[in-house]
Amino acid sequence: MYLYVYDAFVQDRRYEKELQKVENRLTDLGIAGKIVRLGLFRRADEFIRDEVRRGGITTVVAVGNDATVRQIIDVVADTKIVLGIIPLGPENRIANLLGLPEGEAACDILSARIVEAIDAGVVNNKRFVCGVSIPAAKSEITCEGNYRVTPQGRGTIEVRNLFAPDEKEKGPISNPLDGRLEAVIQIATAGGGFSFWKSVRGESIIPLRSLEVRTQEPVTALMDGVPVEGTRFDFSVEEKILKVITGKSRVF
Amino acid sequence: MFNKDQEAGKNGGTIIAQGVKVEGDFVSDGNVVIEGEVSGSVKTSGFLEVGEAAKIKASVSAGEALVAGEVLGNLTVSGKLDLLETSRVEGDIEASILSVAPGAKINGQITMNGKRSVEPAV
Repeated sequence: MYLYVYDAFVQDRRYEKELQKVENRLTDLGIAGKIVRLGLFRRADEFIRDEVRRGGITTVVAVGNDATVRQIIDVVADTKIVLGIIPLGPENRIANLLGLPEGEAACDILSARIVEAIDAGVVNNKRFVCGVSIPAAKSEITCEGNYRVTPQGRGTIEVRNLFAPDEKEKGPISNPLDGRLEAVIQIATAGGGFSFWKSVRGESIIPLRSLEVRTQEPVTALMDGVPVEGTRFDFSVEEKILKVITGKSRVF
Repeated sequence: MFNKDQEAGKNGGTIIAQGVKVEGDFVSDGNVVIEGEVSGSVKTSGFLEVGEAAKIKASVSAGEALVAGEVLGNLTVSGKLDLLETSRVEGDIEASILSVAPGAKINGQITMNGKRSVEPAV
């Protein structure tokens, strides 16, 4: 059985028509299921765990955006249930990279059910799908316990699990099937810009299974867009722990 | 000259760019491009590219290598080693196939197919 998790924001009136289309299409495809509506005081993970305990749930579908996926990523990884996404609204990077079109069109992809087991990144015991971005700071990276990488100056560090370049961000594709994270280091130039965008040579890329980043001052990193504060960021990868429904246009 | 660095990144390889320092035992099973500073040891079974600005103070071992920068340490390459005109190697070299461009500087012993010879600075 499919369990659909509606984020609080999709219950807004402006999504009413699109949701109706989605529900009709799911019924036509024969994959309609139980609906959970998230609210201010309703935690998605507890509810899903309860439903899984009762049995019968094979697939949890996040109806919303990246923030919706983040709310349920731990529970789907822990329970080994298949994750689907029906993207609605802005901030849908995870769905885009997995090849899932917005709204009603995603229902057909769900129905086709191409399931891939992908890696999840872990930072300070929290899972992420796409990556973590650490802003410019004096920092040091210890790689797999064997060697130390020190940017000579203030450098931004991105640790990527699933990534594809777009009009905003450049760089090689990070494949979530390879069992590794890519640490991407960009060094600030004397002029105040980042050499990375001016020259490919300014970008260091190191594929790793684990790394530790230490910054001299506290920074606010973004984990799949969610702020995480600290000076210590310990990364690892959980191989093929997330079973996700993907579209043909996925980037990996 | 160096056009493989983007490819290295795309193919799951490693790029150590200028402005980055690596200390310790660096090990990789893919292609590696070094444009920055490395001290310790470098080991890869793939292709190693040492850029013109690179400074390596380490024992280096690679499947194949192309060197345009500075290597202070022994260089062991199981396949072909290309030393470009801007390269400087202060250490012993071991390779199956060796190509040395005019202007390359070598101070160390060269061993090919087990035969060792003393090579003066070129």
